[in-house]
Formats: sequence, structure tokens, C-alpha cells
Amino acid sequence: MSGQKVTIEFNDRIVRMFLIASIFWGAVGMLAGVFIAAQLNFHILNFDMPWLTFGRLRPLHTNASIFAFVGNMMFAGIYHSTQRLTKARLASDFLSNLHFWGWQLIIVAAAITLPLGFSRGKEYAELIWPINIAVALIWVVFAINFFWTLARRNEKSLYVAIWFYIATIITVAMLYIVNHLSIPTGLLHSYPIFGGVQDALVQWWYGHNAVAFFLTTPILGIMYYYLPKAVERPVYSYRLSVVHFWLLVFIYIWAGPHHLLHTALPDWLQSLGMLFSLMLWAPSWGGMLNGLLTLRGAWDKLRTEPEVKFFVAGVTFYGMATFEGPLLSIKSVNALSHYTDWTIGHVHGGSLGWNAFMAAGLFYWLAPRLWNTKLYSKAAANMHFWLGLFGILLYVASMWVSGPTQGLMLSATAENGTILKYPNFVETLTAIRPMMLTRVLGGALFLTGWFMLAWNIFMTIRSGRAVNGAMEVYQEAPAPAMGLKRTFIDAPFLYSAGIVVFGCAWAFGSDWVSVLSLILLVVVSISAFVHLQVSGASWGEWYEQLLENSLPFTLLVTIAVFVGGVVQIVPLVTVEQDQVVEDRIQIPYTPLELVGRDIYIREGCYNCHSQQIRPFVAEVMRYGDYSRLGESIYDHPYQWGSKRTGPDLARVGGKYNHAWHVRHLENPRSTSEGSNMPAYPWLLTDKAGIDDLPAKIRVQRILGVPYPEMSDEEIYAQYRQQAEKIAGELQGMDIYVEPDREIIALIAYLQGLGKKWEPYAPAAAQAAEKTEVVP
Amino acid sequence: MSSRVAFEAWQMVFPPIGFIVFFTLFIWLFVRAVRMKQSSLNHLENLPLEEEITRPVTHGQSE
Repeated sequence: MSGQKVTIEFNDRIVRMFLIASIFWGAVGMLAGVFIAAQLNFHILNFDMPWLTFGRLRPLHTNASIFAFVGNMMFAGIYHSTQRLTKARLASDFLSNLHFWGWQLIIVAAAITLPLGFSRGKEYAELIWPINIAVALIWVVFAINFFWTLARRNEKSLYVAIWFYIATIITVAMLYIVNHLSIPTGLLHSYPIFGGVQDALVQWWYGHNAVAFFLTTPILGIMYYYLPKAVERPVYSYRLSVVHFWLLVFIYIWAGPHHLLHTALPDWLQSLGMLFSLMLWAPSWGGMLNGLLTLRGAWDKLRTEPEVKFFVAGVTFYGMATFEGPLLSIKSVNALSHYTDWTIGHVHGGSLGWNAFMAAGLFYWLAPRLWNTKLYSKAAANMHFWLGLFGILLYVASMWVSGPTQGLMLSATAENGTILKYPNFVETLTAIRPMMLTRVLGGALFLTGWFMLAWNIFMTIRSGRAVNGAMEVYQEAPAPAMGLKRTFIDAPFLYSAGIVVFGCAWAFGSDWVSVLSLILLVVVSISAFVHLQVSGASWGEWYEQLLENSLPFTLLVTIAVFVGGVVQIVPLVTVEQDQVVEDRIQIPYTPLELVGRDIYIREGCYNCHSQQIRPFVAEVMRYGDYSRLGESIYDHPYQWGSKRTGPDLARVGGKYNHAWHVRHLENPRSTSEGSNMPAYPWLLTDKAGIDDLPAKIRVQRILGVPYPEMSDEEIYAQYRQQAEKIAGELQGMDIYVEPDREIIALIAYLQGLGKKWEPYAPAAAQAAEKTEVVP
Repeated sequence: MSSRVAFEAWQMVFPPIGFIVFFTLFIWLFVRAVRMKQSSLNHLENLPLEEEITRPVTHGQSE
């Protein structure tokens, strides 16, 4: 061993701060979850108060659980393990503190704005644009602190957990920024730059990969570090962990479209999403088995160490959730499961079983070491485990019953498929009520377990004293950097690129391009084989060097995830509009309808109502003609939805009269007996905010929505004219509402759904028609 | 059902391109992982198990 021996003291204070924050926000997120699950059973729990309604609190639950709970847990694990794996203290105490306090401030801002109804209207991406910018900035702070620490490391090799962290940092930044690109209309409101099908695709490219790269890859890194620590033996197969990493990075990013199966999304993208989802089975189960087999010869620790229990159950749930995910991505299965509780059960199998159990294992392992003491009560930790496990099983099993039950009822027909067997949507809701109640019980048990963890960790902290870890290391002269030239101008990389390029050209090129590419493909493949036999050692050297150089490694990961995103999104963004709208094109909303739509988004209606009718017999019979791409092409944001706690609204316009909507929104039970929808009485009394209406329409025009040139006066005149017409029609039904109230705007929007389109013949089709020769 | 989708022509190549890219890189990475040096493997897989010591938080550090 050469070099100077020094003792490095780690910054464990920041780890303690993130740990405590995660426990606190975990309780908040789970409490919100149990509360909104109870609201679905007992509508009275909405209290007729705007900021307590399900539509506003559900985003609070999801954002708190993902970004506040798992986010803080992830930062605790990453900062703690990275310091040990790199044998270096975090690069900057200032950046660490800025990261922590900035993140908490963001969470507080989200917790205030979401119940107040400030929302972008996209799932897990609801936060308004000023908070989006703050998230991006704090993420950059995190990235700088992390990569700076890597640059100062005293351990040459990068352990596989670090790879997972790198992939997380790079990919989340890319996903978050692209999906949150917006044009502000004011200080607290914006419209996303993507609209309709493009917005749907970008959203689920982000939404799916938020699961992949925020809830999965960092936790896998944590698994690869803490599971070996907990059982005191190395990971079962380091080789398998390498394969696991690269496969996940390559495949995950492509699978997003499986959230949009059977919608109006182009079929090639749906197939892409399904195929890559199925391929995910291999790496996910490889990773799960690698985790479980790490316990070889140490299974007895399951009895004695509570954290090992949580880790093992967490990894098992990872396997179960990653089996179920691809299963739900099979188009025929998805036809039944989509929009139902089955998806909710799947998500919670992952979030409670994988994320929260891994968090619990991490905290039970970390707390005694960070405060130099013993865990206060192993018995309480064991009790927490069994309560949590039973809670998850109740939750997931009830959703497994509820989802298929409702899905089957909604698609059931009678009289040889000529009529719906259960025409009233509420019938299907009534059938799943016992399961919805069981879910509340399961969630409450899990929450009780979490409170026990909070108490146990608190008592552990009280019984100990904060300590920082330290390590004696030999500081050596830095190894020569690999450099960009060495990264890319190298035989393995060039041969791989050649095979990919010539393979694609052979498969898809025409005539001589195809023949030439095939010849070149054969030549390159043979050359690669011969070269490998002759220079195998130097190829290996390149790879070994890559493992010790974080910058080139990061670049390759970035390329891998970037390609997956670009391949899906660019064709849709660049394609000529007349190729994607099919036979209909949307008519822009009137000023009044636009205000109504923003109220729809503010109240989070998309959390329970979809606006996308799939091309199935039962759906067309229930909701109307299937949805076309062109009908929502100007929707910024799109509102296709992902769950039907209530019926689809894509063609609700004209189905009921204005009076029905007033009565329904004021008290849903008055028109739909047995409904669990919240009441919205304030819509009848609150004036619609229209000060920023001209700014909103200007932004819509910038985004490509074909509004004609209108002065502010013309916008307001149009608004008043339509509002007074609706108020007048209501008056004719003995309902008196002022034209300037929110409910008038919302009714205008709802009555337009499914009617705001005109026939459209693509330019290519028109040209073909003109040149068609009649035989 | 899926034939109603108006997307035609060149966009259809993406699923097979995805396959080609995926399998090429998978095979290469798989070979690299299998051929990793045993000494590197031993070193890497034992990194989490290295010993550390603890130090009480000094007075300058608030908790």
C-alpha cells in the first residue's frame, strides 16, 4: 500500500437530518393516503371544503410519498453509503445543507400549494412552475455535491451502488426538466409546452421512469450496499449486479407507453412499451435473486435482526411488483386492468412493500450506528414488521379483487353484446365498496407500524449520542483520467456502434443500401470477433478503466437513457400534425370553456375521471365513440387520466342538461345515488378568476392552439356572452346562478367535451382522393 | 383495432431498432461482465464490508 495514511471523518450529520425528515414526511404521506382512501368510502370526509377534497389531497399524498418520503430516504442512503464507498467525506457541507433545507422548503411549498388547488394537472408533476425551478436547482446542487465527492474519492473503483446513484441523478434530471417545460401565464400558473398525445407520451415517459429512476434505481443501490452490510457478506454475484444495472438502464426508459395501451397513442409506441416492459422481467428478477441469495448462510439473521426482515421482505416485494408490472403491460391484461384498482394495488405493492420496507430496514440499521447505541426495541421493530406486512397484504389483496371485479363489470354485456349488463356506473362502485374499506384498514395498519418506527427511532436517538463514521485511508496520487477520446474512440465502442448502425440500415434500408449494409454488418462482426481474439486484453482494459472513471461512465449512462427517450418522443413531436389527428381535429375552447377547464384541473378531476374512450365494445356503448388523437390535440395539459373512480367524461357534453350538472356538482348524491364524489358547493358561490384570461389565451396561441387574434375586450365579451347564455338557460330551469360564478365556466367546459371537434381530412388523404382513378 | 392508428411508414421501425440496439449492447455487456477479472470482482464486492470507526460529534457541530 502506497500513499499517505489519513483518517477521513464522514459528514453523517446530513444523513441524520435526511433520516429524520424521511420518517416525518413518510408519516404525513401515509396519513394523507389513509385519509383519501377513507374519503372514497365516506364522502362526508371531504367536509365540503375545497382544500380537503380528494382531488386536491390525492396529489399531496402521491407527491409527499414519492418526493418527500422516498426522496429524503434516498438522500440519506446515498450520502451515507457514497462516503463509505468512495472513502471520502461529502465534498461540501454547504451544498449538503443547501440540498437538505432546499428540499424541505420545496416539500412545504408543495404541501401548501396543492391543497390550495395550484396544480399543473399532470400526475406526479402537479407542482407549479416556480417550485419546478426550485426542484431543478436543488437537484443540480445534489448532483454537484455527489459528483464532486466522486472526484475527491480515495477508492478508485466505483461499486455498483454508485452506478445506480449516477443513473438516478442523470435520468431524473432529464425526465423532470422535459416533462415540466411550461410557459407561465402568471406567477402561479402555466401551460405545458406539449399538448394532447405528445403531452400524454411525455407525461408517461416521465411518470413511468419516475417509478424506475426515483423509486427503484436508488433503492437498488441502497440494497446493494446495505443488504451485504446487514448480513455481513458480499453480494451473491457481483457479475449479476453489473448485468442487472445495464439492463435496467437500457430497458426501463423505453417502457413508459405501457401506461397508454389501447388509447389513441400510435400503435407502434404501444407495442414498444409492451415489449420492453416484458423484457424487464429478466433484470428485475435477476436483481431480486441477487439480493435474496446474498443471505446465503445467513438466513438465521432473519430471526434476530429486524432490519434483515425488512430488507428481505422489501426485495421480495420488488420481485413481486416487477413481475406484476410487465404482466399488466400485456395489452390483453391491460384492457381489463387499466383505469381500475388493480393498478393501485400494483403501485402500493411496490411503494409500501419495496420502498417503505427498504426504508424501514435502512433506518433500523442506520439509527443505532448514527447515534452509537442499540436499537431501542427489537420487539417493537418486529411488531412493526408484522403489522406492516399484514397491512400490505390486506391492501394489495383487496385491490386485486376490486380491480378485476370493476373491470369485468364495466365491460360486461348482455343480450348477445347489444346492451350493457351494468349500465349504471355506480353499480360497479357499489360492488367494490367492501374492498375499498379493506384497503383503508390495510393502510391504517401500515401507518400504525410506521408510527411505531418513529417512536422506536426517537427512543433510540434519546438513548444514544450522535457520532460520525470515520475511516483510515491511503491517499494516493490520482490515476490518469480516461478522457473523452479514450471513452469513445475505442474498439469495443466502435464495433458496437457499427453493428447497430449497419444492422438497422440492413433491416430498414431499401435496395442497395440494404445489401451494402448487410455486407458491412458481416465484415464488422467478423472483424470484431477476430479483433477480440487478438486483443482481448486491451478490450478488457478499456472496460476496467471505465469502471474507475465516473465522467465517461456517466456519459455512457446518459446516452443510454437519452436514446430511449428521444426515440419515443422526437417522432411524435416532429411529425406533421395531419398524420396524427386521424379524422377529427379539435376546435379550441372558448374563453369561458378555458376558464372552466382550468377549474377542472384545479379540482383534480383527472384523479377520478378519464377522458379517453378505448375502442372496446363496452366502452363505446357506455361512453360513446372511441377517442381520436385529434380530439385532444390542443389540450395543454392533456387530461386522458389513468383511473376511473367515476365514469369517463370524454363525451359527457350534452349527455345531461345544465341543471343536472349544477345539482350534481352541488351534491352528487342528488343525481347519482351511491356516488362517492365530493360535493363542490363553492363553485356556485365563488367568482371565476378571469383577470389572467387574456394572458392564458396568448400563451395558448404561442403553444400553437389556433385561436384567432383577439383583443382583451373581445375575449371578455365572448366570455360574458356565453356565460350569460348558460345562466339564462339555467334560469329557464328554475336555477339561479350568477353568470360570473365558477360553476358556469365549468358547465361550459363539461358541455363541450366530445363536441369540440370538426371533421378533418389529412393532406395526404386529400391528395390521394384527388388522384384516385376509378376502375 | 390497432389498424385505425394513423401512424404509418418510418415510425414503425422503432420497435425493431429498439430490439437491435438492446440485444447488441446486452450481449456486449454480458460478455464484459462475465469476463471481469476475479481480482476486480473480489475487491469490488467487498467494498461495503470495509471496517470503519466512529467519532463523537464535536462541540462545533450542532445536532
